[in-house]
Amino acid sequence: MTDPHDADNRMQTLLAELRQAEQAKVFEPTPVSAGQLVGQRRRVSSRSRARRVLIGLQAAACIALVVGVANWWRPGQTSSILGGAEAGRQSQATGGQAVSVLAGCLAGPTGSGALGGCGRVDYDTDGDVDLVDFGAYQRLSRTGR
Amino acid sequence: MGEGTDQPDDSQLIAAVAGGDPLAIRQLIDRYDRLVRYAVFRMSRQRCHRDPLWLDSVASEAWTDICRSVGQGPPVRHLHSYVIQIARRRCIDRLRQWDRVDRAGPIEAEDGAQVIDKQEDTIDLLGKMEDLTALRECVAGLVQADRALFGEVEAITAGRWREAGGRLGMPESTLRSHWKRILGALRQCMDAKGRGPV
Repeated sequence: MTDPHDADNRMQTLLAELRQAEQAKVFEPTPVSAGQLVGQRRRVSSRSRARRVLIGLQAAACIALVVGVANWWRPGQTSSILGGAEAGRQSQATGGQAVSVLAGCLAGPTGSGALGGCGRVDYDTDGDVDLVDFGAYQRLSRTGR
Repeated sequence: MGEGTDQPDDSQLIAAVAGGDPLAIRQLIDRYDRLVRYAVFRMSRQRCHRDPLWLDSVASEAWTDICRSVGQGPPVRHLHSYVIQIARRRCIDRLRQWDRVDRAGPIEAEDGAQVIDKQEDTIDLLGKMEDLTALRECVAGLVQADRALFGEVEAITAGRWREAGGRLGMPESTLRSHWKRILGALRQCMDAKGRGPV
């Protein structure tokens, strides 16, 4: 059986809460307009669509930047950016054959002459392969031939 | 069949609000406004008493948040819990904002009390709101002379009978007798409304 004193206390507590809520105007309606809320909801929808588009554009821009940087670092592109150095390395590679022939044919100032396959590295056509021919080869390498 | 059956249930209301129906928004507000305001009151009681515009301001912003978010995220199962959570969230944001700009310092230091009431379960909050609504109707059903005693409930609850009696113009013994009778009448009224025993 409920103690009447406890029941009175609980009712008094509830009455005090009610009194405070009334003083704070809990039971009065909030001044909002349904029409304004509809308008705000529509604005939020269009703003969220615009935000999604912007996010998509930013993502596309990031992807394009990554692809561009990756293309820039491809070996083909690298050689074009490095220009003469890479081109030089490629002629040296080709010229590497001339170097090996020169090394094999180098006879010194009193050399016996450009024999066999050595004629193609006798650049001054003096009949031998010496350092003068090597200097001519170096000049030709710089011009990319 | 009466007017009550024309009222949409919560799921129908959510769908209509998500579709931008202003009538549905109005119905949603009418149905849950008091709960939103009570949730804000429970979280910021001191602020509500100190600033008469606080509750209207926070509740308006809460309604903006509610109407923006209805239908946007996962399906709402319990609309009353949903509106309470959004109202609490908005109240917390405003309290933090207010504390940052308040030159007098944070409200905790000023009042020496917890700013935000313990976050009770939403079911408990809903139940208390319904109790208060029923009790308010019961008090409104009292005669004028008895309703006047309701204005002294704080002093009576604190045991200051002589002080309350002095303001009401009656001896302490008379006040005690009337008060006991009123409490009994209110308990009966609450029982009749299905909100008892208190």
